[in-house]
Amino acid sequence: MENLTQNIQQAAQLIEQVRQQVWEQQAQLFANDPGKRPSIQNMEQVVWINSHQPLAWPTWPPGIAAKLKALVQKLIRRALQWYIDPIVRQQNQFNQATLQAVSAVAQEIARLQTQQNQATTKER
Amino acid sequence: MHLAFFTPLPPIQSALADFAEGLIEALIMLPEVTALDIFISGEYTVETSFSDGRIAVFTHTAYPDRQPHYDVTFYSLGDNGRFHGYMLNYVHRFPGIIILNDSTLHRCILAATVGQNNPQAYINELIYAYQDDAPHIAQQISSGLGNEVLLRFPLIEHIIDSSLGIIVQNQFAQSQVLALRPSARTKIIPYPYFLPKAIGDVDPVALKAQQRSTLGFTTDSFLVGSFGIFVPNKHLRACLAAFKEVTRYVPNAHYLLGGFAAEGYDLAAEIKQMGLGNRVHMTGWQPPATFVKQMFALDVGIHLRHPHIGGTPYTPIRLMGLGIATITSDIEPLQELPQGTCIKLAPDDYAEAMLVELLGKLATNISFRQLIAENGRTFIQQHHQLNTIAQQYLQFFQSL
Repeated sequence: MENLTQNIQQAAQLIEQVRQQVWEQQAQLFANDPGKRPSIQNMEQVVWINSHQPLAWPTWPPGIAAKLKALVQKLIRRALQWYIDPIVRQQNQFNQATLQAVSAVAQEIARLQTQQNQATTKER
Repeated sequence: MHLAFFTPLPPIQSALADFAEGLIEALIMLPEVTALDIFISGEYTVETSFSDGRIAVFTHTAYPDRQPHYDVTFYSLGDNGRFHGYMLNYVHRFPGIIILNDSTLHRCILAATVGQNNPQAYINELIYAYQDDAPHIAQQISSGLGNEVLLRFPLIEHIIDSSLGIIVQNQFAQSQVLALRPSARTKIIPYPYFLPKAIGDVDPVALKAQQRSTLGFTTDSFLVGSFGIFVPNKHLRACLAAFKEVTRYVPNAHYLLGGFAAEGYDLAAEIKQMGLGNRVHMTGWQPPATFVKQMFALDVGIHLRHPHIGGTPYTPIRLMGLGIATITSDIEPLQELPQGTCIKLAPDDYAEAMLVELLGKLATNISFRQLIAENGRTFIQQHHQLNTIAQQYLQFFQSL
């Protein structure tokens, strides 16, 4: 049991070394460009929603019945455009505002991290 | 003790069906257990053939007439209405022990009520659990506010109140239950590690070579694998991106996806778009024994999961028990697995870079890989032993 505990600690230390190394590299990267944070990149990919696109896109579903169903759904969506589009517009405005807020926070974090690093360097 | 167990079983495509098989075989071996009846939904034919004649499988409709025979009834509940919804007709009328595999059952209850054209039953559950907040919650759900609302309002309150006791697999789930009902009788019993009966006694080295040959890989391939139903919260894209980095300096690397992508998630297109079509191999769902045999072929297993719904993922337990170096998510339901028995990644902005570095290290540093693998195997053997866990179940049943 003691052997296992020691081995687990040894492995945990090795993982922690990698974590420290990665953190330093990535923190510098994010400080230089907060937009490189995966969470912000993920947001940027989904920020814009389209009321028509997700149906039968990029490919039509397999089978005639599924294709017909998708076609009918697309037509219904087009017919209800007057109702759907304002809601989608509002959602997109909200998404953009949220992304801007999150990006601003990320930039502020990067600025504070840079400040902290500079202060630490001066102390040394 | 004559037991009644409501659970899905293979061919149901769920790790809980797999886990139930092992638990049933272990429980029946205990001298105190005289018979064990299993109650399924009746919508499928059970694949498992139990060799012990004291195990019988029934459709759930047979339960009410048989109920007086049983000393204990226990229900394996999870947040999937297709697999567990039928049990909701019984948990209140016939109180028993609940194995709570997820700390929210909201989706299961939605499927079993609104999904069965019975919205009033759903409203009744909301009112029972949340009283005056019920209409507001229902409105948020119908507005499509989705996961966040379903997690914040788990709808397990009525089930806890009706139960004789709750079994969970981790401290986080226990704390979720006790936060709602401080006086609930709860017990943490981890998932057991076991090999499906069909595999029997195996020589792991021989089986690894045999499986690699069957799957079309050479013995010197570096094989990474993920198993189960692939949904976005398993972050396959990040796993594959890290793997792609590894292929730059490990020419014989391959990725085995033992399972299939959930409806609406075009994983095959993602793989193609990443240019990994000849390195990534998806097998589709397989029976438990085949899945486990395929796991033997791996050098590294990856099972990421976030956000979570409180349940302990079963696949990492399996992978670790087999002595496969495993990467998983550092989430509350896995806090019982020490860092170093597997590699736990915090789900933050550094996770993708960590995955690249650690997968690379596992690919090129055999002693590191063997250290993690052996730590995981030994830990699982010590803490997830099937017979010990069956005893814990029995002791909890006897404590009623």
